[in-house]
Amino acid sequence: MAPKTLLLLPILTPLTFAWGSNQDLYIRDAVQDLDPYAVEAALRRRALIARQSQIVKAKRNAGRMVLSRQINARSPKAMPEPEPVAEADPEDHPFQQYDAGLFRRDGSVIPRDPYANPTAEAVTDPEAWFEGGELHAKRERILEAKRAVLREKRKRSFFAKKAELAKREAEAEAAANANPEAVAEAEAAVEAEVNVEKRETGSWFSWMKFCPLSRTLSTTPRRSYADVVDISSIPPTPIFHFSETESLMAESVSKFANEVIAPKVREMDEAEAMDPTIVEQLFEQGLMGIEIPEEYGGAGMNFTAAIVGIEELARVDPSVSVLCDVHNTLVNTAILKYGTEKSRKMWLPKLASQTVGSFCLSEPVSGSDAFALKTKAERTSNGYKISGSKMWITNSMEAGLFIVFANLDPSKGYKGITAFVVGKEAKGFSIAKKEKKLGIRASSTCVVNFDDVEIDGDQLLGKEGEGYKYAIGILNEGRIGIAAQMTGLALGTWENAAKYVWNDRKQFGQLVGEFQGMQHQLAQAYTEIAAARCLVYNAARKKEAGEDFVRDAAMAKLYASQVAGKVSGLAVEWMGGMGFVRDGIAEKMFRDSKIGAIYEGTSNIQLTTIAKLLQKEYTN
Amino acid sequence: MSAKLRILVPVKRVIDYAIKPRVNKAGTSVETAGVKHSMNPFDELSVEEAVRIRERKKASVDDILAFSAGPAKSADVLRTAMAMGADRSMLLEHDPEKEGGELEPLAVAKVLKAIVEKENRNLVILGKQSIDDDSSQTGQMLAGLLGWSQATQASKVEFDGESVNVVREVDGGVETVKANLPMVITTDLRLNEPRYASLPNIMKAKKKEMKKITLQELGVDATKRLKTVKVAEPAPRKGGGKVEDVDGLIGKLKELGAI
Ligand SMILES: Cc1cc2nc3c(=O)[nH]c(=O)nc-3n(C[C@H](O)[C@H](O)[C@H](O)COP(=O)(O)OP(=O)(O)OC[C@H]3O[C@@H](n4cnc5c(N)ncnc54)[C@H](O)[C@@H]3O)c2cc1C
Repeated sequence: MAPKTLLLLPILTPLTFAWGSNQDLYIRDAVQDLDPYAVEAALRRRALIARQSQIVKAKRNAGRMVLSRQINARSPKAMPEPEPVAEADPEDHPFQQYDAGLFRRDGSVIPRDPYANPTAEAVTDPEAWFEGGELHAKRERILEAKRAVLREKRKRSFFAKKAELAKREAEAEAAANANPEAVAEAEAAVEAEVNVEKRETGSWFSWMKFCPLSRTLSTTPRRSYADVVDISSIPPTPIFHFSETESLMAESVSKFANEVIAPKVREMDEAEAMDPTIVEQLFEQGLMGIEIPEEYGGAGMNFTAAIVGIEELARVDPSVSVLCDVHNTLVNTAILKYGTEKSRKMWLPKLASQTVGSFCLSEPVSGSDAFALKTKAERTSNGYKISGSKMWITNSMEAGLFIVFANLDPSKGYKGITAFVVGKEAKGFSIAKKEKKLGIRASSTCVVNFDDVEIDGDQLLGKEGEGYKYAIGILNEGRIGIAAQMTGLALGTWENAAKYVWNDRKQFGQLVGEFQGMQHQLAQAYTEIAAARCLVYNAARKKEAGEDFVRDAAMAKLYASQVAGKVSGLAVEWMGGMGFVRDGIAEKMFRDSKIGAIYEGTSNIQLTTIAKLLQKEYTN
Repeated sequence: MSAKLRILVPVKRVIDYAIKPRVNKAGTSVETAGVKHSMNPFDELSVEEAVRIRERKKASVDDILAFSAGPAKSADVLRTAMAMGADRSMLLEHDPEKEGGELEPLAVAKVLKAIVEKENRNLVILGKQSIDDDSSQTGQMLAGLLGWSQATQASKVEFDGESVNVVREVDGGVETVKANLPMVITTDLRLNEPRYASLPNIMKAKKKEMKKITLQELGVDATKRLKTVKVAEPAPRKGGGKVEDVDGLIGKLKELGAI
C-alpha cells in the first residue's frame, strides 16, 4: 500500500525563496494549471533572481566596506557604521544595475548609494573604476555559462527525483502485493467500521467520513502525476486568484454563454427541452472534456477550471450548466479515474467530442439511501447482463453513454455494487418516462430501464464490487460542481436584478435601487454570494491540492444552495411584477434554485456528513 | 498558389465594449482603474480574419503574429489572440500611467512599421479603429510609412493569386478595391463573426511564444506630439420618447414642428 504522501508530488526542488514578489504569482499560476514543468521553471526563475540579488547585495556590502575603510583611513574621525542596506527587491534584475552602474577593474560593482559615494573613490583612485562596458559583456558571458551549468544541474536533480519517486512507488506497490494479508486486514478493519456505521444510520452518505481512509484503499487513483499538486511551499493568495488560463477560460465561457445560450434560455425552459445545437456547441468549445487529457481529445485542464466553467454557464442557464456538470464531473471523472487504459481510450475521445454522458445511481427505491439499489448484474459467458430501473437520470435524453451502478452479488450487500458503462444503442435499454419538473426544465430527467441489457466484459468500469467506492469518490467531487452551479445561479440572478433596479425602474421619481431599503438587501445578498463562492473555490483548490475536502464540499453545496434559494427569491421581489412574469429570467432562476438542495445529496444528507466529520474530530 | 502570407495582427487592450466609460476625477482621461478590459472588438475581427484566411486555404499562411503595445496586462489580449489561432505574439510594454499617456497613433504606426520590417511581414490586418480613442488613423499611417497599398474598412477579403479583393461598405453602397501584396487591411464590423476561444485552444495558447520587445530595440522615437487639454463627459441626454412605427415618428416630428 502506497502511503498517502506518495500521492503528493515532491516536484519542488529545495531552493531558497524570496517571498512576496510577482514570481510567487507565476508559481501559483503554474501550480493552478497543474503543469509541473511550469512550476519547476517558475521556481527556478525565482530562485535565480533571488540568488542574483544576493550577489548584488554581497557586492554592495563589500564595496561599502572597502570604501568606508578608505574613508576612515583618510579621515581622522571615525565614520559611523553604514546603515544596513534595504532588502534588495528580487524583481530588480541585477544586470540592469550593471548596465547603469560603475565597475572596478576586478569586476565588482561600485555601489550607488548615499553611504558609499563612488565619486569619492574615483577621485582618490581614478584607475579603479570605469563605466560598465566590455567588462560587463564579459561578466554576462561568464554568468550565463554559470547559469547554464546551474540549470542543467537542477534539471538533472528534478529528473532524478522523479525517477526516485517512481521507484519508491513501485516498491511500495510490490510490498503491498507481496503482503496481501496486511492489505486485506486493513480493508476489513475499515469495513467493520463501515458496517457499524451503516447499522447506526442506514445511510451510505455517512460513510463518507471514511473517504480520507478510502484514499489509501486506492479509491483515489494514481493517475497522471498532474492530478495532485504539492502546494506546501507556495505562498498563500486570495481564494479568487485564478491562473491566467482559468481567467481566460472564464472570459471565453461567459461570452459564449451570454451570446449563444442567453437568447435561447426562455424558449428552452418553456419547451422543457435542450436545444441540440447548444449541446453541439458545448462540444465545440471544449466544454465537454474540460479535464480529459489532451491525448484523449480533451482540453486537459484542471478541476477548478471545470468549476469555473460550470459557474459561468449557470450565471446564464443552470440547465445547460448541469448538463455540462454531470458530464464532466461525474461521467468523465468516473472513466478517467477508475477506467482501465483500454476503456479510457474507448470512451474518453467520444465523451470529449460528441457523446453526452449520464450517471445512473438513483432508483425508485433508493435516493438518499443510494446503496439500497435493486438493479442487478449477472455474469455471462462474455460479459454481464444488467436488469433494473433507474430514476431521475439527468441528461438521459441527450446521452449516448450511461454509467450504471448495479449489484453483482446482493448477498454481499453494498460490496456487490459494481459500475458498468452502457451505450444507448444496447438492446434492452430504454427511456421510460421524461419527468416534468419545477426547475431546470431544459435539462432532461428520465426514468431509464435496463431489460436484460447484455454488455461486453470490457464495459465493466474498474473492478467488480468497487462501485460503491467509486460512487462515493465521484459524488464527493461532483458536489463542488453543483455548489458552483448554485453560486453561478445566485450571481446571475443578482446581477440581472441589480441592473434593473439601478438602471431601469423608477418609482417616486427615483431609481428603486436608490432606496436604502433596497440597497441594504442587495449588499447583504451579494455578501452571502461571495461567502458561498469562497467555500466553493476553497473546496476546489483543496481537492486539487490532494487535501481532504469532503466536509468542505458538503459545506459548499449546502450553503451555496441555500444562498441561491434566498437570493433568487429576493431577486424576484426586487423586480416586483417584472420579476414574477415569465419574460425575464428572475422567476426561472428562483425555480431552478430548488434543485440545489436535492440532487447529489439532499441538504439533510450534507448536514449529516458535516456533523459526522465534526463529531469525529471533536470526540476524544 | 500565391506567395506565402506572413501576417501581422496588431491587437489592443481596451475598456470592454459593454462598459460605460467614465471620465476620471482629474478630467485628464477615461477612468481605467478597476474597469473590465478586453480585446478591441475590431481587433477580434482582424485575428478572426487572419485565421480564416488560413482555414480557407485560398492563400497559404506561413505565420500569424499578434502584437500589442500597452500595459503589462496586454499579455491577456495576446493570449486570447493566440487562443483564437495566432501562432505567436510580441508585447511592447508601455504603461500609460508611467509614461505620460498612451502611444499616439503615429508612434504605433512607426512601431508596427519596425515590426513589419524586423519580422518580414507582407500583410497587416488591423481594426479600423480602437473603441477607446476612436482615432481611426493607425492603419492608414502605417500604409503611408511603408509605402504599401491599403484597403480600409473591409467587409470581405478575397485572395486571387497575388492580388487581394477587398469589399468595403461606403455611403452609396459597396465598393470593391483590388491591390497586390504587400498591403494593409483594416477591418469593419461585418467582416466576420469572431470565434470564442475554445478550451483546448486556450491550453495550446499557453505554450505559444510571447516575446517582449522595447521601443529602444525597435529604434522608434515615441515622443508625444499631441496634448490632451481636457476630457469631459458629454452633456447628459434629455429623455427621449419612444414611437411605435414610422407614422408615429412622423406624427411626433410634426407635433414638435420639426417637419
Ligand atoms: C432533477 C433531478 C436530477 C437528478 N439527477 C440524477 C442523476 O443524474 N443521477 C442519479 O443517480 N440521481 C439523480 N437524481 C436523484 C437525486 O440524487 C435524489 O433525488 C436525491 O439523492 C434524493 O433522493 P430522494 O429523491 O429519494 O429523496 P429521499 O431520500 O426520499 O429524501 C426525502 C427527504 O428525506 C430526507 N432524508 C432522507 N434520508 C435522511 C437521513 N438519513 N437523515 C435526514 N433526512 C433524510 C431528505 O433530506 C429529504 O428531505 C436527480 C434528481 C432530480 C430531482
